[in-house]
Amino acid sequence: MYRCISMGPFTRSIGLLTLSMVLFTLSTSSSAAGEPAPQGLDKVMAYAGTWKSEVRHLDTPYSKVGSESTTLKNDCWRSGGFFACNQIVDGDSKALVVFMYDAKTDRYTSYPIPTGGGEVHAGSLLIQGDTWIFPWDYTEAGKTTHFRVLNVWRSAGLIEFRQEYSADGSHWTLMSLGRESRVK
Amino acid sequence: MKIVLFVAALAASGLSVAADVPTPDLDRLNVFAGTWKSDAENFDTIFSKAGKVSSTLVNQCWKAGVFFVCNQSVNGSSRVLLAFNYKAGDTYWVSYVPSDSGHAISGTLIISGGVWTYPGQQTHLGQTTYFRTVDIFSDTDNIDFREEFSTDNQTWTLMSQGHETRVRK
Repeated sequence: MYRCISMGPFTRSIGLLTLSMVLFTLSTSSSAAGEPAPQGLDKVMAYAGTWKSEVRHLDTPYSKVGSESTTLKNDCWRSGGFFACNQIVDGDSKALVVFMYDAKTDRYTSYPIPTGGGEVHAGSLLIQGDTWIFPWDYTEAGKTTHFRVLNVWRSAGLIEFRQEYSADGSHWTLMSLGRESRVK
Repeated sequence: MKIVLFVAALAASGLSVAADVPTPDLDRLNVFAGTWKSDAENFDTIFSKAGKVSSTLVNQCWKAGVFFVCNQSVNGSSRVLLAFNYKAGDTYWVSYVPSDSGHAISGTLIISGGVWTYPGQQTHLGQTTYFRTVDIFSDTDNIDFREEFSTDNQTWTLMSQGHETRVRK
């Protein structure tokens, strides 16, 4: 019932994506003893809930020093191969984040949809044990800079995260770090 | 109900919308949900091929805050997730996330009475072509639709037309 006529240009908004990825921390793959660990999209479903977030930003070419404390609520829904969360920060809906999973490649794709319209860019999520990584690149004037947000699960209700950038993909500079704890 | 994925000339915006955006604006989208039987006739144009198509379309929908979200399946196969959120007046933002993890695209929906219009455009080699899908609701369960294109945004060429009937809410 739909026809894809054309695709838009792929340009990335650093600010938007950064915000989404930092705020949208993922739930752990850990499960109760004796229960099989969630697989595929089920892993991301643990995303739902309310979290207290504390972030400290550092001075870099891509970030300004500062700190903030917020309450993040992920109101989520699953339908078929889609998992979508309305992301509410301190009571304001900021974005709808849609996740999909490809079992063949064991890769996740995320789509942060802003409330004010605008382009939607796909991002990747890589899960390596208890470390979940959101990588992306930004190219300006022919120079590509790599970014990533890492979520490290310390427990089912506690995440430590950090955001970094790199010019070569090997050496990373910290932009911000923080922790989130589930409150509901 | 016919959904066409367009490239829309949208200015990127990171603005947030307060969670207390009036829900009546989203509630008018409820008619989109349900199971629809569709019969369409396509015509020979540079963007379409002649033929007749019958299909069953299911919109499984969810309302969350400022978003109205639907997983759209065609003949039992999930094709796209549509996310609507209110812009202003009679206009909504619409984002399309394809089920094959491809590129998502964005556009708008304009509702004027029972007429829902999805406008869009694409530019190739400096030539802009305008597209639109027009859904005309005769009641909450019946839609006449057409798809058209134009090179001047005034004179439109029919690509497809048809009828949809909602068989389950």
